[in-house]
Amino acid sequence: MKFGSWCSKGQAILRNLRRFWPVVLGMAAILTWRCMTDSLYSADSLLYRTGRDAGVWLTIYGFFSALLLMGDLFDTRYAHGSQGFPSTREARFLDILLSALVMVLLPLIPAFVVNLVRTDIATGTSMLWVGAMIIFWFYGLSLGLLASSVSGTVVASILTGVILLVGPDLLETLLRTLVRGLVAGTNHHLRGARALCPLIALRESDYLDPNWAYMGWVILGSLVLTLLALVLYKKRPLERTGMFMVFPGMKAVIKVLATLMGGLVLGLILLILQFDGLYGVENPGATLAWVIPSFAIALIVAEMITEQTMRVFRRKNLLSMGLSLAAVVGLVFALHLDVFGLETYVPKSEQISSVSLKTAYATATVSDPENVAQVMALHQCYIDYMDADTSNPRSALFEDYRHYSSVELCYTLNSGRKVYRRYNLMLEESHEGYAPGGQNHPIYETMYTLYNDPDWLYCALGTEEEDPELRRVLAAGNISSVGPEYSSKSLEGQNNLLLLLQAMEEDMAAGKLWLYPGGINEYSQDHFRLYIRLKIPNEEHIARGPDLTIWVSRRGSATATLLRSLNLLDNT
Amino acid sequence: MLELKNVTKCFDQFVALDQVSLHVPKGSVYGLVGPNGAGKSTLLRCAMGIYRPTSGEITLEGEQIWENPKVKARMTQIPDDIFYYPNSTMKDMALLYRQMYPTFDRALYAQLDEVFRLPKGAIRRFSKGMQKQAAFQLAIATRPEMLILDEPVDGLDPVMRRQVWQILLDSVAKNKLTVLVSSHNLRELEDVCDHVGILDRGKVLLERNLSGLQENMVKLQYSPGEKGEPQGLDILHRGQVGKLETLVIRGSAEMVEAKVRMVAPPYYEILPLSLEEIFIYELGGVSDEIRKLVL
Repeated sequence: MKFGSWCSKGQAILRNLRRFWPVVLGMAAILTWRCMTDSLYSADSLLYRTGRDAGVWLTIYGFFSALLLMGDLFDTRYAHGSQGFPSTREARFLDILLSALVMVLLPLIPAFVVNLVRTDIATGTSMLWVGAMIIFWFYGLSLGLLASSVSGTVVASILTGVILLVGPDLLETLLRTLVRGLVAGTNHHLRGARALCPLIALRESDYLDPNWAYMGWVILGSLVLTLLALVLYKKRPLERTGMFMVFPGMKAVIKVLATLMGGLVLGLILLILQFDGLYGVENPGATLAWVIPSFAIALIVAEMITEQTMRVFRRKNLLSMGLSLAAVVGLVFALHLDVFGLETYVPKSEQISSVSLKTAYATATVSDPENVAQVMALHQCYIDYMDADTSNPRSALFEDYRHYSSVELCYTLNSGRKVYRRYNLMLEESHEGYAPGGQNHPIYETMYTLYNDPDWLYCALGTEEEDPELRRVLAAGNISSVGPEYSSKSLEGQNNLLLLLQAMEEDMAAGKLWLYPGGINEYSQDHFRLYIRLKIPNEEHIARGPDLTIWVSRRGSATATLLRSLNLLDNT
Repeated sequence: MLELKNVTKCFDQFVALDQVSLHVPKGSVYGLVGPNGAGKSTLLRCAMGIYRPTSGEITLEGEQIWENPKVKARMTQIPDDIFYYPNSTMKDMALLYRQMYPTFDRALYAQLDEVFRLPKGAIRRFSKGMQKQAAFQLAIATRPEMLILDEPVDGLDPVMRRQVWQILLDSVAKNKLTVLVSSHNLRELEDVCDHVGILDRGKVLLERNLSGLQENMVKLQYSPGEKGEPQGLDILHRGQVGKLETLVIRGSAEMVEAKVRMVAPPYYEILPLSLEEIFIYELGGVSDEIRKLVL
């Protein structure tokens, strides 16, 4: 590039800095203040907690920087004036990128200096922090550039940008929550779209995970989005400046997404307000009552925003809005009436690779066909129970959580696909207003038999192990600590742990040790609870892990005898 | 110099320019006229490389204009709605133009400073007329080969109008500047243009050399004698006030005079037509919008 061109670029950068210096100054103040006041200041916190907050700020800053720098596109006079100058659109796009880069480096420099001065953090670590921040900034910037390239107004670019920033994850969460509310048994834990929303992942994790492979994907994705923004910027028809979307087909897409997101968010907010919590989503009647009108409101608002007028109640608009609402209502009712067969779906046994069963007491994953068949039988019990019961077994409107249990199933199919189901079930027959679920109910009989099969203990201890012999479990180092309930002491030593596991094996065969209490009163003096804490591999810095609760007989069990000999259990 | 070949521009379903072909010769002042909504501003924006034509070709001395900075550096525009960066001063804009246009002449810019005498503050605080003067100063200082003007003197006082046109015509004469100007003011265009084109509903109705037009049409006022009306004339229009008859005739003054002498009227006079009159009578039975424009 010739010197004159560089001068021209320099002028463009200076011009943008003069326009937006308050924003740059504000960002510098936020970052520097954060670095100066974080109480957990250490090399760890630099990359972790401080990194998490700063990463969110930088992402949002990148997004809004793009909107500000591309703001000329939304004014006809400026758009025409810029286009009339002897420069190409690529050159102007590059000016915007360079200006944005300067606008992010300027605030990062004082933050970087504070990092170096305030602690003994190595320069390399601080530079890594700067690198991570620039990656998140670039991600926000790329979304802002893309949103601005396709939008004709400021409102459109903000709406499009928000949809891009949080849309995939939010939409998936909301839809799954809705499905969970309307379809018995479905589980909302799957968050596949999280990978598309680094901002959500960053915001919800306690720490900035320096997973550079993931960061590499973020960079790659941001590059792709930036290139796409450039292509669309070049193709952008200037005569559509001032219209909602400059590419005609996109208005309908944004309208649909905004309606879905707005309707779901509003509906769930109203449910939360009514039930003082998200529990209301388990009530299909309430869900329908709030979500459908919310969709209607969101549809009207989306129509107003995209058509840029308040007058949307005209004949042609009413027809399309009516059809859209009818489609949504139809889909919602189809879900509720289980037209798609989601409630009664159980995968075929030949399709199943493994299945995981999680209750409040244990999580176990099994792949042995006999064990898988046991789980499928349990699953079928739940389905049969729902069919037979006239009240809502899924309702989680309980005041006393001891009166229900939840079970989660996760089938991993041969194709790799996972099928999640979750059920709540009443325990006490006497609890008013809820379905009976006494100890002799087929579900409990099935669960009791299943859980007290020794195979399940091995599976529960082994977590991800396919063939978890106790000794192999011990060798793998999966157990973090073990001790009786309410005891501050924990069994120590490899040898003692091995002895304990041998005793547990013996007690399970003798029927003196259970994974699931079944008919045992949890406050019975004849039994005690043993807590086994399992380690999650490769995440040693996280203190907590899943707990396994095992019920043991106090009398005549080898486990109790061993614990007493080690002074971990009293002699009562 | 500037050539438009079968240019069509559509905005969704609306056809703003329909197979427009136009040629602006080098060193000429080309006036583009038409009623409101004819497509003049759209045509000028396409010519300036702001809008991309839906179909057709727009070239400057054979080179495409769209997204071609080398060609655009030889052209400058003064649109109806002028663009300045927010809070920029004349100095800022001059710096920008210097960066953008390699032919920017600082000495000329300083000279024009003496003519326009604009204040030092932010341009956004100038009046409409002063902003227009600023646009002229910047545009002329770039020493363009082609200047595209949309309602250029709208908002300028009469003295400044005359000065601006004088500067432009000097540039045309000395530097072979080519000007494409759009205006509703036919009387003003008549003084400066040597080519004209009429646009109506996206189509070019007429495109002519002005002197050729004027040489080929005359107005004859005469009092009929014993031999009556001259024969063999291509009469476009007749009028009568008392005994004085007025004929608008397609043909040269010499040819018309020869025919008139043959009937030896007691009184006759052959007069040139104004641009307005030429358009009225040349277009004959075209739409009322054109008539309203030229009347």
